[in-house]
Order: sequence, then C-alpha cells, then structure tokens
Amino acid sequence: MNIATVAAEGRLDYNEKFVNTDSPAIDLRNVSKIYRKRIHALRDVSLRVNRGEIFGLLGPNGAGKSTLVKIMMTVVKPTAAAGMILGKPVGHKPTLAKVGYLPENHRFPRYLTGKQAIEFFASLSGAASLGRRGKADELLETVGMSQWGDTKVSQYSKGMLQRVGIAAAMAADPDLIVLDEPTDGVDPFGRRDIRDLLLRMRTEGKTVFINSHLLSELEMVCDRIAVLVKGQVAVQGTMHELTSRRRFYLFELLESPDLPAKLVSALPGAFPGGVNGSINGGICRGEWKSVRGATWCEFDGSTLRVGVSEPTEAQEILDSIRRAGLILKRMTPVRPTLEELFIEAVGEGGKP
Amino acid sequence: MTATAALLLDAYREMNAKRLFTVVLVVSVVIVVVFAGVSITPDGVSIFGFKSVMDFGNNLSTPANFYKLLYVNFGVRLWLEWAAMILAVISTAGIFPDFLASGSVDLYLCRPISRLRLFFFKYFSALFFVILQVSLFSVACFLVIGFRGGDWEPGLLLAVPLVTLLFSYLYCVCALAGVLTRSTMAALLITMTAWFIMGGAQSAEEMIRGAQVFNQIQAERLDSQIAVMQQQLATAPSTQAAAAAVPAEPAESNAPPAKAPTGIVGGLMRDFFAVMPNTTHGDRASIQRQLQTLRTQRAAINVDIEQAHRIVYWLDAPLPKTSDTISLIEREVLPAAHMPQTLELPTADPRGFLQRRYDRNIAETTVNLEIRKRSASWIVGTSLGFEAVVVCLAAWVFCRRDY
Repeated sequence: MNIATVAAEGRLDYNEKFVNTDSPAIDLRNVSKIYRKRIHALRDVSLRVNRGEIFGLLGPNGAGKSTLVKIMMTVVKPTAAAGMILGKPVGHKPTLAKVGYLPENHRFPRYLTGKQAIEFFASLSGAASLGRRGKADELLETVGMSQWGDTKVSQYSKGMLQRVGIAAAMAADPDLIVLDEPTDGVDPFGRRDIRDLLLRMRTEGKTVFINSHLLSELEMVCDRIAVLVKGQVAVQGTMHELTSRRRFYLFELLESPDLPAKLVSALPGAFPGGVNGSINGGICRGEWKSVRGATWCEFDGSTLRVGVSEPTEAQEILDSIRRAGLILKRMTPVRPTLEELFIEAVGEGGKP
Repeated sequence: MTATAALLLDAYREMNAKRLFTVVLVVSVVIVVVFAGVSITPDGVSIFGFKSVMDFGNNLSTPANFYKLLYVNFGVRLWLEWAAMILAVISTAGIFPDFLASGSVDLYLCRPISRLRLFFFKYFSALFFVILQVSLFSVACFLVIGFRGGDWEPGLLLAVPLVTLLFSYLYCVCALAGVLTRSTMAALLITMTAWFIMGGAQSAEEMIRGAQVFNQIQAERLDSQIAVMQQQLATAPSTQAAAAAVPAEPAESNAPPAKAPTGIVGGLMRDFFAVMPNTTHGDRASIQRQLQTLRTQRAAINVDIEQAHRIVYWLDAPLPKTSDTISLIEREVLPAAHMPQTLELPTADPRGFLQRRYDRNIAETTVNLEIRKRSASWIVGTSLGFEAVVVCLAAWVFCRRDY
C-alpha cells in the first residue's frame, strides 16, 4: 500500500520508507515484573519496535503499560528482563543518553522556566552545551511555546507543560523518544501540532514509542501497535496487519425486487443455500468461495459487505455485480477503527 | 554544561527559590550589623551609641575577646546552632520528598546518571544551603572582629565546616525519612525528634557525669569529716573542739530518719542532714558512725551513678554529638581561661548550703573541662560514623526502590 492510498483513507499507514527492521530500536523479551511478590504487573512481555517507526502501546488501566515504559527507562527494576534498547541491554544507563522520555504527569521543578527546564534536562542527558541555548529556543518554537520560554513552569497550564515536556524529551537529540500520554490535557490544536511533530520526527529517522489512552490519536500516527492486557501482550503488529482481517468493502446497490436472486447469481457460493430465506432475517452470512481473499459476506437489504481488504479483490466483486445487471450506488472500503480492535483485544474481561 | 555542573546549578536555583533562604540571609545580615554596632567600653557595652553598664569580670581582657564571646554565644550558639538550623531543616526537608514525587523522579532516573550519584547530589545540595549561609555569616563576623577588635582570628571560620557538620547529622536523618516516607512533614517531624534524642542523650550523659563528680566531691568531704572526727576521738578533744568540728545545733528537727532513704534523692537528703550538727548528746563516736554510714551509702550511689553513666555514655557514643561539635568552635576561639570561672569558696557557711552550690559549680566546671578535653576526632568521628550509616541506608533504599 503506498502513501497515496493510505492518505486517501484519511490516515498515514505503515511507511516502510522510514523503517529499519534489521536493527530494532526496542527488542524486549520476557519482561516480567512482580510487585511485593504477589502482584504480577507484567508477564513475559515481548515487544519489538523497529527503528524509524511510531509505535503505540495500548491497554486498559492497570494493564502494565506504565510499568513497561518505566522498566525501559530504568525507573522500575524488572523482576526478569531480556532484550535490547538501541542495541544495548535493557537497563544500560549510558544508552539513555540517546533516549528522550516524557513521563506521564511529569513535574518539572517549579523554580525553572521552560527554557531552563529544557536546558537542564538536556544537560543531564549529556547533551553538548554548544549551541544548546539556541536549540532550546528552537525546540520551544517547534512546540509553539517560544513566547513562554522565560516563564516559570509553575505558571504553565497542563497543555503547556506537555508541550515543554515534549521539547525537553527532544532536547538531547535522541534516537528513541518515549512519550507517556503526550496529548493528555492538550487542546485539539495542540494535539494536531504534536501529531505533526511526531510525524516529523519519524521522517527524521527517529523512533517514537507512545503510551496513550487516546486511541484516535494513536490511530492517526502509529505504524505499529501492541495491546497490553493484564500484563501480557494480547495483540501486536502493524495497523495494516491488525486491521486486514476485519477490513471489508461496502457495496450499496439500487433496490429492486429481483435483487437477491441476481446477487446469488452474481456471487455464487457467497450465500450457501440461497439468500431468499435469510434476507427476511436481515443478514445472510456465508463462506465466500468464488473470490480469493474474501472470508465472509453479509447482505442486508440493498447493502452488501464483503470481507476483502485489497482493491484488486474488490474489483472482481464489482465486475461480478455489474455482470449480473445490478446497479451500484456506492462502493466504500471500510476498515475497523483502533477502538474496535482495542475492544476486541481487551474484551470484557480486560476491563480494569 | 556537564551533568555535574547542571546539577550544581539546579541545587543553587532550588535553594534560591526558597523564601526561607532569603529570610535566613536577611536575619544573618541584621545580626552582623548589630554585631558591628556593639562595642565594649570601660563601664560596659555600647550598642549604636546607647551605653549600658555591665560588669564582665576579668573574662574580657580585650575587645577581641568580647567580640569572640559574642560571636560564640550569640552568633554560633544561639543563631547558627538553633534558629538558623531549624530554618535550614525546614527549608531542606522537602528536597527528597519533592524529588521523589511521581512525575518528578522519573525525569531524573531516565538519564544516563547513576542513582547513587543523583542521591548524593541531592544530599549535598542541601548541605550547600548551609555552607553558603554560614560562610556569609562567618566571613562577615570575621571581618567585624578583625576591624573592630583588631584580632584576625581564622578560627572563627571553623563555624563553616562545623555548623555544616551539625546540619549534616540532622539532614542524614531527614534524607532517610524523606526517602522512606516521601512526605515533607514526616521527614521534618522525624528529624526534629532525632535532634531532640541526640541532644537529650548528650545532655543526659553530661548531667549524669555531673552528678557523679558531685557525688565524688561530697564523698571526699565526708572522708575529710570522718578523718577529722577520728582525729578528735583519738586525741580526746575537749567539748569546745568537738563543737568546732561539728557545729552545735538542736538535733530533733534535723536528725536523719531512723531508716535512711536510698538512691540519689536519699543521698542528697542525707547530705542535707549531714551538714547539720548532730550533737544532742555530744557523742562524737555516734556522729562518726553516721558519717561512715553516709560514706558507705555515698559509695553505693556512686557505683549506681557510674553504671548509669557508663550505659548512657555508650548509648550516646554512636549518636551524633551535636552540641560537642559546635563546642569545637568555642575551644578554638575562646581559650579555657575565658571559660566561666568557678565560684569563690564560701568562707562563712555554717549550714553548708553555699558549699553545696560551690561543689555543684566545681562539678559543672569539671565536666565542662572533661568535655572540652574530648578529642575532636572522637566527637566528629563518631558523629560522622552515624551519618555514614544513615546516609548509606538512605542511598540503599533510594537505589533499590521502584518509582
């Protein structure tokens, strides 16, 4: 799928142009964390985040997302952990110089101004001092805070703090940026700015790891996601991989008395046993036999949903419909939202 | 800027942001100004031209000594050791709890800096608060004494390391409490309690030692009385001589109870009765027996006090010597000759009241001199030992904990 196609769908999809799968930025294996010898926060979590991609970590409250992020950032010590971050073992302190981190509900020292906070935490990350003052101004401008740089952070709103926090995470020019709820408390304009910023970071070859509850936000920027449920990875993959199974095409047909009969003749094998009896029931579901790639088919009134994900497959169905003399009013590719995926992955049992 | 320089700059900013830092600084300046406005005159002292007649005895032979005494007793003992110390503890109690608050500690721990290094930076940033304040105050006082007293005493600057040491004894407890509880109020209360215990243990040790010395002096007096009595019995003295040895006084109201009370209070009561004459029937042998009984009891009490002192001494040994540490400044600045003098031996004291006061004064002076003779390495060494243990424990908890 190329960029033009995904842009037409209203989002940017997995972009292999920026991704390097040979050397993953994060490659976690069997990460476990047990608190007080009885609370299993994480159970053998394995994750892989390629360099140059935006990765989203999802999960209900208490799933262990923050614990996993904190283990990566050495804030929490794992009970067991293997794997690498930027090619070094998890917990390797010097590697953190190349990692920018925005904690959830972060609290900058109240006596610092925004610019001082950026400079201070960049210094702690070992960033070279040369030109950093200029870089702080540049970062403040990037996050839309240039006029507030000399104001104490104690006077910032939540959204302003988030913006400066992201700037601070980027200050040391990291290869990997870990953001925990980056758009929390940010207004819609700010969210859009942050999304643009994330996409820009990706084009610069940086890897972005986002932990967020805002599924719609993640959906718009993430290349790959993982859903964590009760300390375990329930689902992991690219957005394309995860949604392809549930993608379908919607065909809206012009109503006519002989519509079901024509449909059966147009799509043989789609409706085992015919559709006459099932139409009254509202939905006819069957195994799709005639077109490769389709796994299911639903017919409701004048609406036909066919479980194919690729345009070429949909084209074959379209041809069959036309051959049967049916008139097509509209054809729409539909893919499940991240929220639907999330709910499916988490299930009722995943509720906190 | 390196991470170290950034942390130092941050420590300064953090300190500078605290209002109490400014308050302490302003009060220090006021004290120094008042200090500079005080001068010694032949009649007493003058403060900004207002004269007050005072007799300082012969302790203040020179203006420099007068200023040093003021510096030690008011500047160090009152201001630095107490008032400024309390303000410093209040100002810095929140450093660790604020640092460890959720959302704050993450910002530090995710850096390529070891936890141990972060801990000690935060720890020393609090000490930096005191170093800066005490340095400003001491240097200002050093200049005042130099210009006004004509004595450029470098020993005055000892206040900087010693007051910082005193603060560090307290702050190690504050850091441990802060790391464990992550609460400023809890850290503050625990630190104040620890300070009270440290000071209390030291005072208790000094008081018991004072009682021990006093008891020994009293025992020596009984020994000399017994010796006199024995001599009089041996030489069959006249009634007048016996009366001279033990002044006559009706015994009905002053005789010791038939069954002598025991313990320290009992001993003191016996002392009271002992200095009272007991010559109802003029039986010197009886007086001698009573004196010997008192002496025996005094010896038993002394054993008890000695044992109590030994226990308290060793309980106090591993604790920080807060007061003794500050006394090291006094030792350096004020020679023993300028220590408070003992009272004159009373010449007319038929009932022994003044003598007891004199003995207490002797005991107090003896204990003060004993404490003054304690080695600085013992005082500072044991205190630093305590601090090292507590700081290591706090660092261990800090490094092992999940945030």
